[in-house]
Amino acid sequence: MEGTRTRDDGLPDRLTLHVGDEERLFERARTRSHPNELVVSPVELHQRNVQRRLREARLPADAFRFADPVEICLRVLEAAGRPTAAVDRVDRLALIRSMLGDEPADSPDDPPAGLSLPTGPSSRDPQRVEQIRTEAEAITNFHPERIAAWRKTAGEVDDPIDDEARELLDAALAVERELRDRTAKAVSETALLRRATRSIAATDGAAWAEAHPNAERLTLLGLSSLSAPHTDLVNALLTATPVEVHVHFRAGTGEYLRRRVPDLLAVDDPGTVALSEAEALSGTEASE
Amino acid sequence: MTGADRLALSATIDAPDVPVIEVASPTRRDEARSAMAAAAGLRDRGVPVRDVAVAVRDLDSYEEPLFRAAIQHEIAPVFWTQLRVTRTRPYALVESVCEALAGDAVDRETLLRPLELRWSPAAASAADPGSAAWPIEPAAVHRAREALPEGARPVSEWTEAIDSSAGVDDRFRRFVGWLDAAPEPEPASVASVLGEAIEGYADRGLPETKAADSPALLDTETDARAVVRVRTLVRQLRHKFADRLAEGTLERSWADAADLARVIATQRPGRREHSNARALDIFEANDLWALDVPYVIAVGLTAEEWPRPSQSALPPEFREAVLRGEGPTGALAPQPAWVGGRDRDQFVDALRTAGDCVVVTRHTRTPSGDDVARSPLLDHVETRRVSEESRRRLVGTDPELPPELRAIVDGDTEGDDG
Repeated sequence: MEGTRTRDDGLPDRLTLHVGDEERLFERARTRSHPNELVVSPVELHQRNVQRRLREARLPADAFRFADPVEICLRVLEAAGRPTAAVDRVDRLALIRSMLGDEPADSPDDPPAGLSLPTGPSSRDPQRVEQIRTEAEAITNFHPERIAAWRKTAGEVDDPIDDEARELLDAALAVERELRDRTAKAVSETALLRRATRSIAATDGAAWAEAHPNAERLTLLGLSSLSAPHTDLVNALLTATPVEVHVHFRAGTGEYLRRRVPDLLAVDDPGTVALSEAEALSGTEASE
Repeated sequence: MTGADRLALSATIDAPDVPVIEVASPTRRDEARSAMAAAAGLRDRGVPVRDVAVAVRDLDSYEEPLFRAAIQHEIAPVFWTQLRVTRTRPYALVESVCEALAGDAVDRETLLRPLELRWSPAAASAADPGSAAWPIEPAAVHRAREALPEGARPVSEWTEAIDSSAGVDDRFRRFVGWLDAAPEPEPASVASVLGEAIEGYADRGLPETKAADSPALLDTETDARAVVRVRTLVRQLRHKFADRLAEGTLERSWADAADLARVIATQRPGRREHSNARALDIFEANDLWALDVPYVIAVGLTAEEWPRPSQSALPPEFREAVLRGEGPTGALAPQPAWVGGRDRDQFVDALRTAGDCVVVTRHTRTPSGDDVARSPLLDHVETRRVSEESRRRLVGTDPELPPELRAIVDGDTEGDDG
């Protein structure tokens, strides 16, 4: 179950994937005394658990800086002089509610222009609409190549599921587009992640180096999935910076996930967004 | 990636080499009793409470029975769970102040509700003599409700009613004066009025909770956490109320301010952050990751609760194609949680967390008597099953650890026994 594979088939040099194997982190705590490793976990309590383990083993935590993915991206954006304000979930749901209009949740009335939502009893429920948007975002990061892959995949499943899968994607893209039109802030914290991903690539790593000057290694911990936004951030780091990236998957899903990583990394220009057909065709980057 | 790799998500779990003891109980309530009796039994055999952790896939359905069972065994449980702030007294106080201020007239129940929830003037402003006794004791609030007239009236007229009612003291007058002086609901005034209410509670209400609390101070901890959360909530309320007024989606009213507070409170849950060395840690299974504790008690290993695949808005056939990831589909990021992958991770991590032993518990029937199946995750490990007779002794009046568990505890200290 445990194990580490370096230089996996088609994996970039500076990326190492682990299944479990967190002990390695504790070993590194012994040997270093200045913070040159960013320890990143999406679950806040997991950072606390690692800190508790270090305390219990009487190991110094000096070698590590703990953060969640959004925090490290905020620092990149500050260094790049890009805006960092984002709409939170409460406000996002309010925006979605207002774009759906004030009709009851299952009203058969036409949706606002440009916003086509899949049919179904709860198609006008803001929470469900937001769920569709976040699922599409986790799977594609709204990247043009992944959006094309979604359409192709939809074409391969049986009728009428193929149409439903396409409609759900179109709905997610329409909601994301409409949200952008309605706020000057970033639509979500994940949009900030994408913006930081593009900044890292566009500055050829300079924004990253300025934000995290001593970070030689970034360790992503405790993942039960590798979302497209996180993949693209890792991709940009590997392409534009000298940082070494270690990903620790968890024991129940790690074997599966690590076999998926090479394909997930095989998209160009990570962080690029195409919310409409025109953007996808012209290759222009939507401002975000 | 080939389709066959997809099978890695259902492959046999290579479980760590730690003894797993399985306790099956008839109902959920019995199961909670068995779990807490096991924790108490370990404690009574000299295992420090800190060396035991309880993992539950989803605390919603277990928090209450585990809490009751823990108290029975004189265990103080700390639930590492989302604080349901809307069920706390500080939140109810803020809501009740909004309700007392909403509308043109208010009845005596609504008027007195903040006082029942220990409304007090903030300490700094309470130097005046005669106001030492805050919050008003419940009996006095009760007497006032009996003495005051029925029927709704504007806040300003309640002062008069208080003056002409026997046995309603000056403190009530002061409270009504405070309500009457509240400005119109603008973002800044909403924040300052509710902010005063919460600071008054922090100064005078919280010490009441502490005085009445058990030695482990669990209620005090909950109350203190709630005060912190409600302070943050009031700050957010100021900004969001301003935004909503600018958009024209809310009215300048205390009722709308209360509605918005509820939206913020229910959509932004916070976590308990205090651990307590005298108390038993009870985690949701995801939060156990990376810890190292000798004994783990994993609760709720039934087919219905653990695994429980995530909800998705996408059709199952499409999700399955994304999981297989063949050809160009490989660029799409799959979510193993769709097919219970996260539950696998949490199960393995509960096993990995345990240094000496894992006790897994489950129940076998619903309250209405239907069968509840064993979690398929348990098929991945070899368990030592505790007999029904041993389980009864565990939860009986003269509790006794099952022999399977006793052997491990005693083996820990020296040699083994049977």
